[in-house]
Amino acid sequence: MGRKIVVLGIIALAIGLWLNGCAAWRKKRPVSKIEVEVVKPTPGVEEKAKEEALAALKGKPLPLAKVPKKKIFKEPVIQERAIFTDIHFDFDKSVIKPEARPTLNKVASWLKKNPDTHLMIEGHCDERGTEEYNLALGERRALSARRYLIGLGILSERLHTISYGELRPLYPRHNEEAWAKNRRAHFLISE
Amino acid sequence: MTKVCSLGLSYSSALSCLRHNRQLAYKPQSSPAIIKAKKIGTIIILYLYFCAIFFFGTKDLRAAGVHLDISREFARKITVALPPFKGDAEGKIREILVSDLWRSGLFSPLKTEEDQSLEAELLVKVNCSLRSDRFHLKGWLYQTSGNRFLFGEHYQGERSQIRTIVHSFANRIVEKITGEKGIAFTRIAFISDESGSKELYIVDYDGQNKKRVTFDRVITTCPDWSEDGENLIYLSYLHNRTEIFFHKLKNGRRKILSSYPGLNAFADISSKGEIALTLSKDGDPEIYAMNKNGSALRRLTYRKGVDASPSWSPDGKRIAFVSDRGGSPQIYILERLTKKVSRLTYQGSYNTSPAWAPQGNFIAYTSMIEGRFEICVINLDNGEYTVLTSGPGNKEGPSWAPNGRLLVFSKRLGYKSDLYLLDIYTEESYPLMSGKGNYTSPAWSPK
Repeated sequence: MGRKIVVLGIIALAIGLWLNGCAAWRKKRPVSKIEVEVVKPTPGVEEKAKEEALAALKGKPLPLAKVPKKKIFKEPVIQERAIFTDIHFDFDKSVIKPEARPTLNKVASWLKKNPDTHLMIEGHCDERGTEEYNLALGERRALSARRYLIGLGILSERLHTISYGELRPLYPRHNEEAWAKNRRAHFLISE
Repeated sequence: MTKVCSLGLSYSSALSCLRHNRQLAYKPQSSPAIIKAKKIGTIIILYLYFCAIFFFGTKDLRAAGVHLDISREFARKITVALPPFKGDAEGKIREILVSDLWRSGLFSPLKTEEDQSLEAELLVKVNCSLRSDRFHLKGWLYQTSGNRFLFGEHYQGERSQIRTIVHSFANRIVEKITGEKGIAFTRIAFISDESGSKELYIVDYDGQNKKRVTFDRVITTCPDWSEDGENLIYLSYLHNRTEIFFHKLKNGRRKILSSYPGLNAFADISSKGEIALTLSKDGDPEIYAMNKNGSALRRLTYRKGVDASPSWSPDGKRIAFVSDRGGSPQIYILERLTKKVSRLTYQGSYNTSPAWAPQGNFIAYTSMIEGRFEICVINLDNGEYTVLTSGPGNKEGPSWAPNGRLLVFSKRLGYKSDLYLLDIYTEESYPLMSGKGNYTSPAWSPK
């Protein structure tokens, strides 16, 4: 019993000293200065999109943003499939063909109506190039489509790319018809 | 496996050995000093021998590999006689050695017994035995003209190490003749879809011991070896994006080195451990370099268009890569420090997948010729290029053996892709292995 009191006493003493120490330390701490920084007003989404569109039209590359973790990309549902059709490219080219513009315009207006969604653009190639080079070419096709959409006023951070090169052909045949269909950009949308 | 000792024999005993090899009793020398002296003796004999070649210009063995040059001279192979091995009734041991010597690209082993005449320039004698699960191999190499003994060695190890032991002896023969390291222990990494998805595999350079490395059930591609030949680096779609993985073969542990937005591809490790790769995070596929652990990323190219497939020069100072900045994919060379770029290839409208030779003065690549892909090699000294393959099928993605003489590539014929080896001097190619599935993207280990 006596021993317990002694132990409790020591603990009480220790806590007292510690609090005392804390107080002393607080007193010694210098008062921090207040720092002021001039901040420009953050540009509105529309202004940013305009700036990016201008850069994209000039042909400037626009950095890719990380895909937000919450976003899961899926094939468009039946009602939207008519909008998100594949666009096609010429052999060894990543230029957006005039035939692809109506599709991209439709995609852009859909994205404007659904401002919370993100778009994943898949770049694909036919089997005729080398496997290695096609991986880079597929990415470039996806980036071309992305730049076109930015030019139409879609924020760059909503547009993501992935290249499958020639690794995922839509039609695994060896003829001109299959190749033409395999050289494509394919779209997935986030929920 | 242990190499017991070098079997040094004096010149006269070598002669007698040739004549009465059956009766000869071989005793491993135990004193290291004697072995060393004998080794030095062998080296002196070899040195004198090569001096003699130099001075008298006989049509004997050539010290190949000192300075590589595409010429027909290197197409000539050294003939080797390999009489049946003692203690190898089924001929399986001999088969491994014959395959090793043949695959080195330097030798033409005589296959049938009738061929084992004096015509051969080299003679290999082997005694082997399997006693209580210990495998012993004693091998001797002779030069037939002048009956010169070149070296002898005694190896022993477990039964499971038979292939390793024969590979060791094959490597020693190559080293004795060329002064360069043999390739009998090298491996080839490649992609196969035989499991239903594109997974990474490795196989011995002679097509044996195929092992699966990844089990991800997604696309895996663009493998390359670390500079020590013990780890692999590759592109994986495991997380529904392109990422570069570093994979330790010893324990199967791996980590992600590069996972930037957009494309992460074509990682190539330099002899110093620096990684070059293509990223599109800045809005265009460009070449970057980073440290072995993925840190300190530095951008190296700044032109619009595709910049892809970097391949380091052996000294790690330059990078060959593909770019379409000139309108069609061509090979360019980038100075690592100054970032200066110069164009290398001009012929044709589609040249991709460069691979810088380990000896430095050649770059192999894939070129479209008359609508088909062929393997080419360009000489950096004079810009001359040679088309090495022909015939049906698309050949692509060459990778060099560390000896700078052989290439591995994939050939697609119809619906099937297979791996082939190619001797750049004789322009002969032959299949590495056969099996179901498509084999692509080969990468030869540096060691």
